[in-house]
Amino acid sequence: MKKMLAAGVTFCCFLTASMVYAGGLIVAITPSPDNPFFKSEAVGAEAKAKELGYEALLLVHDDDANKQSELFDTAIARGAKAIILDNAGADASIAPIERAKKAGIPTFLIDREINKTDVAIAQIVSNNYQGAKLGGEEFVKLMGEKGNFVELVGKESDTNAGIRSQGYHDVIDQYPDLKMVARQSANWSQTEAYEKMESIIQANPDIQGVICGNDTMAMGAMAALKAAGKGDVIVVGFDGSNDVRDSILAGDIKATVLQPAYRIAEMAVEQADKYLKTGSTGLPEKQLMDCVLINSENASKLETFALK
Amino acid sequence: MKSINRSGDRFIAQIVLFICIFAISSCTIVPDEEKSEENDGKIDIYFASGTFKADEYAENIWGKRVVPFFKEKSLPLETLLPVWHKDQQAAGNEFGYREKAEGSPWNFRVKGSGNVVAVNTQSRASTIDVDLIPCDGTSDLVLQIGPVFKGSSIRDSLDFISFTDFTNQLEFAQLSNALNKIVGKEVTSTLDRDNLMGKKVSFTGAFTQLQDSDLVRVTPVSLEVE
Repeated sequence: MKKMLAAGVTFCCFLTASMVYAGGLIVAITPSPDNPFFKSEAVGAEAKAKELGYEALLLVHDDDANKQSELFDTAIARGAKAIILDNAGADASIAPIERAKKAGIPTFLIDREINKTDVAIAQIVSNNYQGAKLGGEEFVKLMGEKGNFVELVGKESDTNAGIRSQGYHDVIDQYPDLKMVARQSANWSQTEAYEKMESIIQANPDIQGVICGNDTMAMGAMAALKAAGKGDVIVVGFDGSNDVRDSILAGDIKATVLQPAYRIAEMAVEQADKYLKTGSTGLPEKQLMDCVLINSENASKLETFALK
Repeated sequence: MKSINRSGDRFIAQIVLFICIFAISSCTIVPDEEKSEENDGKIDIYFASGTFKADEYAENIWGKRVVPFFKEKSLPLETLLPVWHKDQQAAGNEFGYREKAEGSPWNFRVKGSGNVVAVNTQSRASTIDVDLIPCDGTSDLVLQIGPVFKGSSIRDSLDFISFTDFTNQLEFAQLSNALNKIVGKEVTSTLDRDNLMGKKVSFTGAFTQLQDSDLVRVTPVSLEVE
């Protein structure tokens, strides 16, 4: 009896859900929304899914590959029509995506790519390397191609920390008069960047620039520099957050690089929709999304990871 | 039989345990700092497989495919530029190339001849300004002459190169860097950089639509100075 009741309730729930959301369920799995960048992805995916008539379920893997694998099982068990994923590891993510594929559920990657093709239907990749080169070129220009600088690197286990650093160096290292006096990881963290910057300033008082792997570290570095009376040091970040936009408009941080997080998530849902309806996205699997340089000229147009 | 089996299992378990202990005791814990000091200036790229030989790949396609491709596909700048200055999007639709639509700028494969009206060798990303024939004394474009080349115009103009064929964006980036390196070596290294002003140049090359700008910044594939 209990079982029948449960089945009945489930059936009713299913019925209501399918009446409201004719398209079925789209599951979006991202890193923690504590970082506004990832929140923007989740919000973008949810809004577009609802707009196109799907139910949206937002899940968070916290950059933990095991947790991500469990969330894939959840998505499979819930009978998702498609999965939107900002993944937790270029290699570790391949197996769960294959599992979903075997269960007939296509996965659409956003922001970060995986080291294998023909598993996901689309990989809409944020071009971190191109973005880092843009940021690096702006930094070189602001520095007048010379001077002492510091690099704050992101979390060393994160693919994008490496890519951005590589992009910066591929530009900056071509200018022999630019000398890196310190290079440390501040793990994407504002407070850690503040503390590391404080001690770097003590050891190297003669610095003209700081290039950072993301915006939160740029905010921390800028605060430490101002506290040390070095507010004129050139600071460049990466992400395009509203905090750094405001700092640029106030004349503190000089530039950042915008990754269109919201739009990337929307595009993934649009492509999922097209794929579900026609069997093809009509686009190559791997799609690079270029980043955009933000400086005092266009900062006022920036709002929540999109240019107005 | 059963008891023999069980003692056999136990024996195997003991061996496994012994190996484990041995393996753990022979490990040394290396602190992270040592590693990062070793790699100072260059950090590990966490997912680069390291097997992709970008320089080799670029050398292989340069003479065989890239140079002939530009010889064949390049559009005269005098045809393109009037449309470009009126409407970049329209110029892209008519003459440009990009692998996919959204989030990518247009790329153009072009050719032209003109006079050098300015030389900027102050920056390591050196350029010359070219006034296209028929000359009117004003600059129509800048041509990159290195040793630093900005952008990835050459890679992004090649319709036989697709991002999907590369493991990740780093390999794809390495290809662009390798192609730019060949330009520096094959095309611009022999230039008489101090005596370019006023000379006539003919070139083929590529340029990419830049953010909020109508600057035509060409990376050359071939360049002749008369």
